Amino acid sequence: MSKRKKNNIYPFIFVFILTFTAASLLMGVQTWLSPKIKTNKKIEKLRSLLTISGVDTDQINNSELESIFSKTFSKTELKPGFWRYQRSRQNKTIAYIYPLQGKGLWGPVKGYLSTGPQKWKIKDLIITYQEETPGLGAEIATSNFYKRFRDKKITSKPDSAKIVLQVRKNGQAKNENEVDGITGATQTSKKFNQLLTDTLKMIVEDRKELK
Amino acid sequence: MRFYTRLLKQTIWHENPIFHQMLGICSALAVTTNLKNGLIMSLAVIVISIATNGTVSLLKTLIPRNIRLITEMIIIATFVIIFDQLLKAYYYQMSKTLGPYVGLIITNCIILGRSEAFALRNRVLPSLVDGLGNGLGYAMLLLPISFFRELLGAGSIAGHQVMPADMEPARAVLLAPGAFLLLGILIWILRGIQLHHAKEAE
Repeated sequence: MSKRKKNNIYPFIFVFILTFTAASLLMGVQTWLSPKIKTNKKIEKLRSLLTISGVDTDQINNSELESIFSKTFSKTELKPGFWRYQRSRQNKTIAYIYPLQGKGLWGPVKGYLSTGPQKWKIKDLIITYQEETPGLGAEIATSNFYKRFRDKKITSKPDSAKIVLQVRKNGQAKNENEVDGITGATQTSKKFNQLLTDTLKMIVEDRKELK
Repeated sequence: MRFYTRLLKQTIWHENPIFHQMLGICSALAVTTNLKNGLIMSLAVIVISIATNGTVSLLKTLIPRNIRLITEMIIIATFVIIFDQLLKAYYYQMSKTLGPYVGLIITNCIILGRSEAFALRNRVLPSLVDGLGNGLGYAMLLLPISFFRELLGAGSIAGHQVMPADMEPARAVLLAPGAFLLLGILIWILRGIQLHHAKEAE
């Protein structure tokens, strides 16, 4: 071993230079990529909102996405953390979109839910964030799961306030107000039912006020 | 050249990080629920282990012995964060599915183990080859496991449904115990082949 490495001060200098280099490198990468990452997040949000309001977004490129969004969507703050987007075409509202969030089995679940003009039936939903078990509970974030909610009844009658929509065990959903849960993910299905009911309550309340 | 092909074969087959050294098993089980995840994770480990091995080997005469582990960790962490950021910027959907697991490559024993055992003692080029070999050795187990877990657990290959829709998939393979079982079977088969070769050589 050389003399230099026996010196007590040498490790300090070495670590200092190393961390300094690593930190500057990371800062550079961060500055370079963070606008792109931010755009990705924003585009993902717009795409989700448009998709569940009934637009096929596969053919639309990102700049068109933004112009469609700013032209046809309007946002209303309802209470802290809860809002409503309305998508209108020729002065008619064709979809109402609300944030869907709550606790899953392992962590927060976030997404959006839309209703049609009548607002007592679900139009569509999408999950954009979840931490459930991969392959099991995480299946809530697949189009296969979203499909099950389309046209399901939230309340039994258009003006009723009681939420009747329920996530059942997979294979048990028979009626218009029942949705199949995920096989092998009973707990996630239960938690999802809870957060869905909570959100739907707020939506029904908002519906009364809209009238 | 023969030296390098021998070295590559040595790291991938005779001293495979997973089925021989039993390293990196946690991540091999965590991210293998479907083929795409397995593929991106393998790619990440290959790139990061080559980069780390190369850098450690370059700096080997400068690194003070008593703080070499910290130094290696800093180097690994830097590369992992860069890879994670690149994934977020250019393959956003994948970075969302892999979630925290890309970050956890920092604690992957394969990369730390190889920089400690090989790159600190060898020249740059062999170290790069060693990094590549270990990354490939990791991929060699990760890909079949994720293939079978997705096929049996979800009835699909890389997201495309291949099993008949009315067939009930074996969800248990998607859980950790199922992954252990599959990994065990795979290690058993591969070691069996190795043993067979060794006996024939005698």
